[in-house]
Amino acid sequence: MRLEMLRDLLRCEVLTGADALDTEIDMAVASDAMSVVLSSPHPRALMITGLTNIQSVRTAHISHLPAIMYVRGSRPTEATVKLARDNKTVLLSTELGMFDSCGILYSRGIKGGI
Amino acid sequence: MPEELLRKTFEIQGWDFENAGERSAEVTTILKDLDVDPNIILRVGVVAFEAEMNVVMYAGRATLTLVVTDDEIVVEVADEGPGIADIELAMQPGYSTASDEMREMGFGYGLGLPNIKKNSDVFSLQSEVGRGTRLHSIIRLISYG
Amino acid sequence: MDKRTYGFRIDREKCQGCLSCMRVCPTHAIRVKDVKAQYRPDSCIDCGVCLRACSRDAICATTTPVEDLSRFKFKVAVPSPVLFGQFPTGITPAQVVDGLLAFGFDEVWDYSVEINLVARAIQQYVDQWTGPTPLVSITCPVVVRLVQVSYPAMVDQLIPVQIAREIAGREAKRRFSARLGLHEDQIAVIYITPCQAKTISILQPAEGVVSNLDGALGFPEVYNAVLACRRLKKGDAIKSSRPPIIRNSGLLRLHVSEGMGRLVQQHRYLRVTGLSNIIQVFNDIEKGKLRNVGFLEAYSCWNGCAGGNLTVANMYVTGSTLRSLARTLPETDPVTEAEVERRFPNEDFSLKAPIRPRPVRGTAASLKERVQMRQLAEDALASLPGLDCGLCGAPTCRELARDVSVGDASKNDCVFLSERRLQDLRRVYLRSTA
Repeated sequence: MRLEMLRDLLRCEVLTGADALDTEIDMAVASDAMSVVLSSPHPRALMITGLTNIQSVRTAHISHLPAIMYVRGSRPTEATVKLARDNKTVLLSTELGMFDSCGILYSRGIKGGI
Repeated sequence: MPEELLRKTFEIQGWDFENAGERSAEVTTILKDLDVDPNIILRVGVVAFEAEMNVVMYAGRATLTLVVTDDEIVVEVADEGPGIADIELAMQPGYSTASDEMREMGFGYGLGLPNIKKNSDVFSLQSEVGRGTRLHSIIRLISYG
Repeated sequence: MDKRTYGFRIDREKCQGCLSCMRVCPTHAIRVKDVKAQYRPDSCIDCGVCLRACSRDAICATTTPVEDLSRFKFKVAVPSPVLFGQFPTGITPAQVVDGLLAFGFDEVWDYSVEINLVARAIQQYVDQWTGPTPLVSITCPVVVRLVQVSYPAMVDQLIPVQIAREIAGREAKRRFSARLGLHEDQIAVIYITPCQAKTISILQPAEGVVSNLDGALGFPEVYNAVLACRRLKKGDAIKSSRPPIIRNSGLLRLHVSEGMGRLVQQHRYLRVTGLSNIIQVFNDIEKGKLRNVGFLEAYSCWNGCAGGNLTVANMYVTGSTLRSLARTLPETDPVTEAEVERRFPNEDFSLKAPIRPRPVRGTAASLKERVQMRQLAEDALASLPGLDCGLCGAPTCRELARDVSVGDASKNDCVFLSERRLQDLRRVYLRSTA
């Protein structure tokens, strides 16, 4: 799924990376624990998290994840968005909760990491 | 004894959550410049990042040393923290002494050390309560002879 | 690895060291030393951007000298489809063919059958491919070389099916040697090319083998012959009783609109033209975008081969001419289809050797050397101003730092670091006022 489709589907706000919404995503990993994301790195997967601090962006960078979607309308600080912009990581924010977000994406064929 | 090609030491400040992870990003940038296999970079990145977060959460000060040799990459993290009383227990997935505050940072779920071990070809952890902890991880560069 | 003996050359007499070519080179393959531009052949992708940037006419490419052809007993021209769109309205493909014969060729080869054969081989390859996509056509030699030099991780995505003009070369030699009782070496198959990159790719194929073609002539070399021939024949009945050389519109459509994409089905197809656009698209592919695209055709020249640097007519006019010529012909015809059916099962279309990344300086070195070079380059870069002024003779400070790290340059080539360098430049470049 293209990120732009995901944006429309989950009514996301694009915090940074509007120029990279043609990136294709077919896997996702959802957790507030960054070690969970790091323990099963799936390059090119989407990270779904409620954790908005700067470590989410660093984790995505280290794990080669192209995009993060923050749930429950949470938004990171300006410094975090700036780091994401520098790293070319796409940041999205949805009003939906973690469970609903995952459910919708799963029903559209996005698979989870192990 | 493999020849040491590059050694770089970084300082890590404890409780500096804003900059935590910066050193690991630098490590991966160096390896990318050296045209190292992306899968190796991914593993070294996870090792360095988890170790760096451990230091930031538990220890006051530490050094992270990256060593590149002909056939392996070594990540060594030595801190002057409180030490780990029971290493075997600390290595168990899910075991953690982290505070809620640390969990809010997205870490402290008891997965860091197991993650480091999983991504290392050789892993060792030495600790002395009250003195500090020394973590040693080796990732082999199989594709470079 | 193979040594690159063909490519662009700089005429040291004409070159004034103006830095124009160095600044525009997309792979940073040009340096200016002692007021003369020079190539680093390992990074050059034969795109010819430098050629257009040079106002002194100091850059030229390897070509096939026409005199060279006299040593062959029989000469076959394989014209690029774009040639037929170069002439004023009223000049038919048949007249273009007559012109080529008058120029000195014994036969002219229509390679629409080969285009269909290759399209079919590509279709099979794309259908069975399970690796990363998109797969990339190797028709444009600049694209192949760009991948080899700047996107080495993508070489496996280059489709290892021979190009139609190469298959045409093989078949023409086979057929005429059998018909005339000549050895294949006595037959020259010459591509009539819209660009110099194709000439270079024939003299020196990317996969390091020997081409089936014997050389290439640019459009300007045959253009006048065609026009002159037509003038002579005015009034005369066209004497050639040959069958129509182009039976269907497939050949003419190859370089307008859909290209091979029209022939390769069931896969998402993308056509990209213009080197800067290609670089953008390849960067996206590296980042994991465009994975839905199955088959990608990329042409270094704007608008594809009609914009080649050896064309004569305006590329948009060429496109329009080709389209109107194509409209007069059927989409396909029974003779061509029967030929395709007959030949496809009996011929091998796979590339004779794999295309590999080209070792650019630095990449072939051991890890140890890479560590040392990186350190040297980093130290050098830290002392440079970061303005990319180019006065050192390298296009950017970073490139100068890399040159320093491999021993090709000195930090003192920078005018900020060496007063002497500045004086030297002043003396050379201001000599008229001195």
